[in-house]
Amino acid sequence: MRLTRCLLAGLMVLTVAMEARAQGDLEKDALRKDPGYVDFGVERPGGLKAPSIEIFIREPLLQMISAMVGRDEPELGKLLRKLKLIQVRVFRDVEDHDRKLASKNAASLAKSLAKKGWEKMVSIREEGQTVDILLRMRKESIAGLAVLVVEADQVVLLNIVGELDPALLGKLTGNLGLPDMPALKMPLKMDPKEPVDEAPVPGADEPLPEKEELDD
Amino acid sequence: MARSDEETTCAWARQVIEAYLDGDLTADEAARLESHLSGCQACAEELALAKRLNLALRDLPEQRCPDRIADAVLDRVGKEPRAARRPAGWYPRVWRPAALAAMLLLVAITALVIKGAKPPPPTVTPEEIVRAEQQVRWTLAYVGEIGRRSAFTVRDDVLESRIVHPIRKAFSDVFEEEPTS
Repeated sequence: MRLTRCLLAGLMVLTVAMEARAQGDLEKDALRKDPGYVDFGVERPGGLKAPSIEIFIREPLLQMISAMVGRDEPELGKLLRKLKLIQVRVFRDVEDHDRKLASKNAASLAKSLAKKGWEKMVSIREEGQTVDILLRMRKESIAGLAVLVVEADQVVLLNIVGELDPALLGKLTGNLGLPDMPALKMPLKMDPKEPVDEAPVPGADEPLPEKEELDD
Repeated sequence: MARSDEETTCAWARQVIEAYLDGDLTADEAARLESHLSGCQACAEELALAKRLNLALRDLPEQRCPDRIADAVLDRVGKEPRAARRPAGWYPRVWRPAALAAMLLLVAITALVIKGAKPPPPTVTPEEIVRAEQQVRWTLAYVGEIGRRSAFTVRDDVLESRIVHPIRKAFSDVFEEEPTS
């Protein structure tokens, strides 16, 4: 009888441990299967080494942040509440050779995402700069946002997974000032004290450009 | 302190002497007791006394159960319902596997419940939350900056095909449908 009890107790502990591990794996699988998710670990532009800065904030932490900021900034809290993941990778001090390769591969990445159902909202191919902004739609709402930027000395890969309100996103991204982040080197020289311009943002509900800008 | 430790050990030894004689102690406990007995005269005498008592009890003649008691027991057993009397050995043979099956079922249900339950939120410090908040703000601000930059350089063909052309077509359709007087 004692042996039976010991065996059963051990079986229960083993089952709980296996389930706990399976639950963690389940979370990762659920994120990978989300249509708005971009696996930068696999789909990383070639020529790049380890990122200089890496942000990976999952849903539980986003919920905490939403609760924290929601009282004073209800719109920001509302936006964050529906997000599942924010991931950013910044590769700094990218050499010229690597930058060209990264630029080429970023274009390929954008193309492969487009094949998977992502819609290309913005695509810039200029000397020294490559920008792609893609949206993943799910029925009538946005399931994910991907921003791929290759600049003179850095590469930025950005992915936001979750239900995004484009108008709210446009409004908030236009009004947010940059916080002081000594631990995070900002790739863009943005002075938080400068007034925010009223330029339209893709995805936001803005009027069409003036007629004279459309004429050849 | 040494005297108190000795008294404690002697108290323990006297408690387990009977179990030692019955063979119920573990190997470690038996070794510990024997080690104590080899150095403690008082406890050794207790063990010897316990042994003599056990032998004396065994040597006592077996007492026969008085007839009146045996009759009363048999009379009582005879009056019990048939279903209450089970053959010897039935209970453990049926109960043990049934209990095992019930426990396995409970484990399976527990596993299903755990699988369906949401995992508890991660434990993060307030500093980590503040830092994550800064990272979120930076990310959104960066998206805004890229959006502002690129708004002025939207691909011409995208602008032409998705905005200009549909508008021109809509206007031309409207004017072509106007009735002539």
